[in-house]
Amino acid sequence: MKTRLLYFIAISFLVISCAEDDLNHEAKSLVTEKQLLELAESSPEAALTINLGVEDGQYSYMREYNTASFTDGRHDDFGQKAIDLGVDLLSNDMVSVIDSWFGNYYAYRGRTQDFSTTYVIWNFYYAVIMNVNSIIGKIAEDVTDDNLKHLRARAMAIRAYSYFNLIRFYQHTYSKNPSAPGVPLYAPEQGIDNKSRGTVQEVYDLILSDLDYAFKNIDGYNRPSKEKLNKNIIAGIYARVLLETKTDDALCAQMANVARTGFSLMSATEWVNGGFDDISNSEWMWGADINAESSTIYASFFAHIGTLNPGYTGILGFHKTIDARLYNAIPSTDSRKQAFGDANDPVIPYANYKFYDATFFLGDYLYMRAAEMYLTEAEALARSGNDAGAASVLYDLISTRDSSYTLSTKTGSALMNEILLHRRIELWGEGFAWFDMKRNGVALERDYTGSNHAAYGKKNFNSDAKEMLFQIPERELDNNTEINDVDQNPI
Amino acid sequence: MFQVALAQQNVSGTVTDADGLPLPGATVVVKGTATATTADFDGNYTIAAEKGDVLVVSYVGYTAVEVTVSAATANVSLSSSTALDEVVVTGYGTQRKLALTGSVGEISAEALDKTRNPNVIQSAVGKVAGVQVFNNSGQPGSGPTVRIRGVGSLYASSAPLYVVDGVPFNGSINTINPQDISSITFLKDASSVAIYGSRGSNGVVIITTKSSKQGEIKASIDVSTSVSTRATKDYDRITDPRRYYEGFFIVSRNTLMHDLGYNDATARAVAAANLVTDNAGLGYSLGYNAYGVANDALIDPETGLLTTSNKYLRWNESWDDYMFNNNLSSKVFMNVSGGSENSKTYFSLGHELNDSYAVNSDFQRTTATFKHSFKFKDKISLDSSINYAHTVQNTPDQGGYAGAFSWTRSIAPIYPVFGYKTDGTPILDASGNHVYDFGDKSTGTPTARPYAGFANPYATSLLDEKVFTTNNINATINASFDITDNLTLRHVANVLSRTTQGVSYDTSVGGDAGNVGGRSEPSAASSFTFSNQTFLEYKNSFGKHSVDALVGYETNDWKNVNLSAQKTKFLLPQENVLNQGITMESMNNSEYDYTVMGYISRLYYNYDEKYFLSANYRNDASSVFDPSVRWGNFYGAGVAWRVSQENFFDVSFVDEFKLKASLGQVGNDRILYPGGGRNYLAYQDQFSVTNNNGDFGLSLAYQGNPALTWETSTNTNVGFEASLFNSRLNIDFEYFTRKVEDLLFNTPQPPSSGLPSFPENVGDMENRGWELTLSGTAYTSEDLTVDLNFNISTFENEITKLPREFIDAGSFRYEEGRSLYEYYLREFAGVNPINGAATFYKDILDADGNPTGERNVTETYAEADEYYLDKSPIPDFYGGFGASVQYKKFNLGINFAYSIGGYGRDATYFSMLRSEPGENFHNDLFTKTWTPENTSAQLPIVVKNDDNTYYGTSSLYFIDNSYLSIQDISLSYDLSADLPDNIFIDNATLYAAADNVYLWSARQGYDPRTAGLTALAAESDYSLLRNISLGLKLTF
Repeated sequence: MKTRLLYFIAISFLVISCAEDDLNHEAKSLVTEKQLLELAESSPEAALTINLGVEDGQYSYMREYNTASFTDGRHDDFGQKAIDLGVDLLSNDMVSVIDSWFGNYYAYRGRTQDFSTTYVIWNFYYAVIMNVNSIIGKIAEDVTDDNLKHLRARAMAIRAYSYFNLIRFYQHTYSKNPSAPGVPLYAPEQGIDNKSRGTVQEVYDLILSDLDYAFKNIDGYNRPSKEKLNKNIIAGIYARVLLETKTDDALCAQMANVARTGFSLMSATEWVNGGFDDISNSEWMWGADINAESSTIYASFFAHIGTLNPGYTGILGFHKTIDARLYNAIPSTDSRKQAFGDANDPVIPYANYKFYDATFFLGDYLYMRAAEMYLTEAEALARSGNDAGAASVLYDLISTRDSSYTLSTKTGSALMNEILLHRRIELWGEGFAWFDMKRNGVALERDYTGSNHAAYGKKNFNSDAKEMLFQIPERELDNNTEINDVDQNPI
Repeated sequence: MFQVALAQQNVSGTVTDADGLPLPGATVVVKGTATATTADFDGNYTIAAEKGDVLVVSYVGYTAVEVTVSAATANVSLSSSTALDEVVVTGYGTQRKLALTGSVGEISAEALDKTRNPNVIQSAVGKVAGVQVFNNSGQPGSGPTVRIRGVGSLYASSAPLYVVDGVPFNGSINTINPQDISSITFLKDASSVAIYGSRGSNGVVIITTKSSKQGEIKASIDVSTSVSTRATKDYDRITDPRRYYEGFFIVSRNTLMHDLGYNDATARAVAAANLVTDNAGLGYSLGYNAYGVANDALIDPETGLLTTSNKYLRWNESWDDYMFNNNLSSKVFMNVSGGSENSKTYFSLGHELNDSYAVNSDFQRTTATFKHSFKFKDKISLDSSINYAHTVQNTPDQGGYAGAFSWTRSIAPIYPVFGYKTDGTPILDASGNHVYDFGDKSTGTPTARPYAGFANPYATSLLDEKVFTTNNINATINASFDITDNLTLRHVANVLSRTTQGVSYDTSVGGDAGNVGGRSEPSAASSFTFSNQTFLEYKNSFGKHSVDALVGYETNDWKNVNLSAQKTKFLLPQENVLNQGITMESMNNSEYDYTVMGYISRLYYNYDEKYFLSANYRNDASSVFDPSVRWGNFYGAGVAWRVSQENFFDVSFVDEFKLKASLGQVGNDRILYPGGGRNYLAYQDQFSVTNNNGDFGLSLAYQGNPALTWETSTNTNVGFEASLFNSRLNIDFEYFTRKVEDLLFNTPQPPSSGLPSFPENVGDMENRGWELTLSGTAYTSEDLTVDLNFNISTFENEITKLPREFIDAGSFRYEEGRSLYEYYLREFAGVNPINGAATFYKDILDADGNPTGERNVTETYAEADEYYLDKSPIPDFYGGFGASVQYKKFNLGINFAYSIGGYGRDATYFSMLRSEPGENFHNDLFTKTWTPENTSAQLPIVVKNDDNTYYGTSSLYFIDNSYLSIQDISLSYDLSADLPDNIFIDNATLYAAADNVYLWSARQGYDPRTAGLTALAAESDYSLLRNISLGLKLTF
């Protein structure tokens, strides 16, 4: 009996084949860090692929729907272009006829800490910063391999771009007060891990050093498509930053010139029709190429701004129109005026026809084009006192828009005003207007006689009013011990 | 015939139990006299008694019965109450109830038979002390959330483990036919659940299905039909289009005066003139004019009333009429069982169709079960069972604007279902059919709807196809071999295979996919679980000692594969096979694997059936954790003492009194992703892979933590069980503690760090509480028996250790010394009577920015501070009570559930005062909110979209979570005696039943039963349904 017992126990333990290895499972949905490291170790190309993957992941993210990962995604959250549209709606130049999506920007509601608007902006840029920090952290500063060096340069430029956008939302322009509270800074490879607000100066120091490194280390890089950064784009971002700080106008003009080299301006006809939905346009420098898989349909740029597109605008009538005063200021000979409707427009008074997607929401997103660089160069030259140079660059641009335009003879502040007016016309709807107002001390004035602004948005503020700042989102205050109510922007 | 002349008559008969087996030694007494006798070994007795005498027949452990003598024979059947031999299913086996040292609650087959709900757990509300069942959705076939003894975890799953017929069950409970179930047992304390190791930390629910019985072949058939209606009324929303225009006039006027500073006369004039179309640049309007007057003359600015009457409505369609219907459902079930000692079989077949109250929403289930038991050579037994379940669930979209319940609540009554021209003539399509109105002019309607454009949930519910079909096979073989008389080797192998086919088609007629030619996303998922258990069990008695020891090994391997693909632009309308679509949108494929394995040991010991000891120990590993920390140890031990068996115990009315105590430790590995769903690889960083125009894009989705380890909970349970007055009254009382350490938590991070949360073991917490269950027979006679039951539970919760000063979690804040569910919100300070603004408290700060302790009020929501408000959703007490009355051939059962105390947030009610233009309002707008005419109102001024956030989340939202509900009522009539004698039917019962009968709660529309502890009561979810059914059961 005893042997029988032992016999059976033995058999049953055979059945128990202790397969402890069965407890190790591979991820088969998301990929894990471990799988990526194994891939990276398998070949140097693989290591590059993975880091390039993280970079590409950010380009994807910039045009993604629901970047804030809310349970119910918001149709005013689709990446960089949503924020660009918000920047225009905060300004004098654009009207949101109906108070629906983007009404929080237009009516200056979304700036308070409890609104999702400020959270979407804050979270978007910081998510990008966290991801590119992981690239920067994995590549040494003095790396010799060209591919990796270029990748590090691009990652630093993206980081600078993100911090630049953040600081312009959450604080006044640089020259007003460089010691004003800034935003938390994370640059682990330099030992910077600053959860407190720090100062505006610290933020710009990091932005400029990042761009300096990026510009010096990008030479020789040929980008596969206009979706990725290259020397031109890095120079363009550098020019934007210097235009804001006004600390080195000569370098600013030089960078703007480098940026636009190699791109030809689009024609006047293209400007009025078809110039703003295709990344292959000769003037487009940087953008996102939208296709069927990446299209976000109604939660997308053209659905909100394309007057004739079958989205919120075309179907539901939530139009974005141009400010009447700006429209009236466009010279009648300027062909750009044809891209807008007048007070008697059949669709909606002061309609915009500048943005039109010829496809069903496969239209591409525009981040940077050559015309901006002309205007930046002109403004920087004018500010540095070189009026002739400024007028010449301005002529190079405006002559392609207005066939009867002659070289400007204005000087000083008159010339500056002319440049700024053309900037507002040229870059209408592309995400510049409000930032330009803040840095040049232009007040918000929507409540004037003859204004076509909607009643719910008729507000007037000075350029240094507290309303011109966004509040830091509540979730940051709740979870960051270094930022409390006392550090918050005024309500 | 009985004759008066016979003064002294012998009455004889047989005393049996409910199954017909004799009860030897039963006592028979003539009531009020000393005449008594005992039944013999076969249960037969003879006693001297006269007609009219009352005989009292009793037996230990059974409810005593009184019989009035009316003939020479009196056979008596007794039903067990404490039933000394009653057996309860516990971990990996059964235990006699009297031997239990732990905490167990049971629901019997009789109670389950009456349930109409296809998911059997949903009918457990209020029936077992300490068990909270939250039914989150009334959608037929959906599953409830079960919490046993309070809160187990922060961010790990709090779901209990389901065990079906001894094998841990990964499938869906709605594949089990409630009529196949013979009992459901809830294991509540650690010593009971520790045997299930890691997965038992939130309690274990053991489901035992009916099996074959020895004896002659018996069959039964049960058919029923039922109708479903809405269980609770919706919130008091505006239903009359006239009142909506009048209400929106008030809101518009409020907006113009409060936000834009217009004076009263101008505000009235502008509001009235721009009600339907916006000619003043206001930025909003209603768009539709449902009456035959000019757009700017609908409302009289002076009075605020409609200038016309409902006689002149251009259209009059209520969405409720279309989206809801009292549909009929039906159910058929039959089973056959029987066999000899060595070969027994059970077979059942069931089909049900549950057609819900909401349009195009239903659930069908077909089940077939075959079980067989072999016993041969006296030592070997082989039990096999195979169960097949086929379910088809038709489930229209519920999210966003789509759900029937949320849509009918939020769409303003001025918008029609179908398309009309401005003058009210219907818009017809080419075939003469009335077109739908999607609110986006796509079907020819003249204006767009300002609220919910691109949507018509009635049309999409009908035209979309969202059907999920599952095929489930659950097969088990249980082989045991008696190596000796006392030693048994047992092996259980189980395979559970579930395949789901999903069809998800959005119609091309309108709605989400209206502009893309239709969208179809078929999916296929399959999950396969393979379990193996091997046990060696030793049972023996030495004199008064009794031992039952078990050692074993178990593995549980689960694999789940998902595949889906999406295309848009289809050739034919309503055809959704991918081959007929041409635009490729996306493809998804993923796989999840999960393995658990463990070594088990368990011991039961008793001395003289008076002193009981149980102990178990388990060593478990899970694939979720890093290999270096993945093994965990879990133990449990319990003792019980049947004090009533002691010689010194001399209380006559107490039949049975047992003290028990237990202690144990279990672990939890079920950490979730921040958005929900289990995180099977929490120790690693996880990236998502995207396509950036032909290049790989990688983005960090979740950060991992290699140091993450088991969350352990140490539980103690102390209590007593007593049975009094000849088992007429049973009392069960328990006090428990649950100490949880290393809580698994996705700690929120500052957004500037780029990641929303980080998984870690973050602190300790303790739950304490007690439960009391009373049950018994209030009254019994030959014709009438009344049984009552009552249970009450309570628990409190405290965080005992936290690494940070506090952690913010939505509306709650965690801090040492406070409960896990303690509200931390802005505090509403009342309405400003001058302008109607809401005021909130805020701290007054000193020069350094620190709170001085004094407070001020502000009208700016963002400026207000948040405070602890001494309120929590945890109820003070909760439980249920019920009665079962048997009168002659009628049987009536009624069950209540209740909860006292605790506060919820009624976000749905307040969202009806934050409405966008075109969104409906609650009728309280007219009477309870501030307007210049009603300056003493309790609620703030209502402006469009609540732009000033006066109705933002704050203490204003609090509502008492107490409720009393009638969970179910059932009435049955035994027709057996009325059947003709020679018919082969043994028993026939006619029954009627209703569930979710009625709810009393703090506000009409608010149902605390759907909320859970942290969730808000269902806003857009599917409301619970009331099912009323009628059926017939026959046994052969």
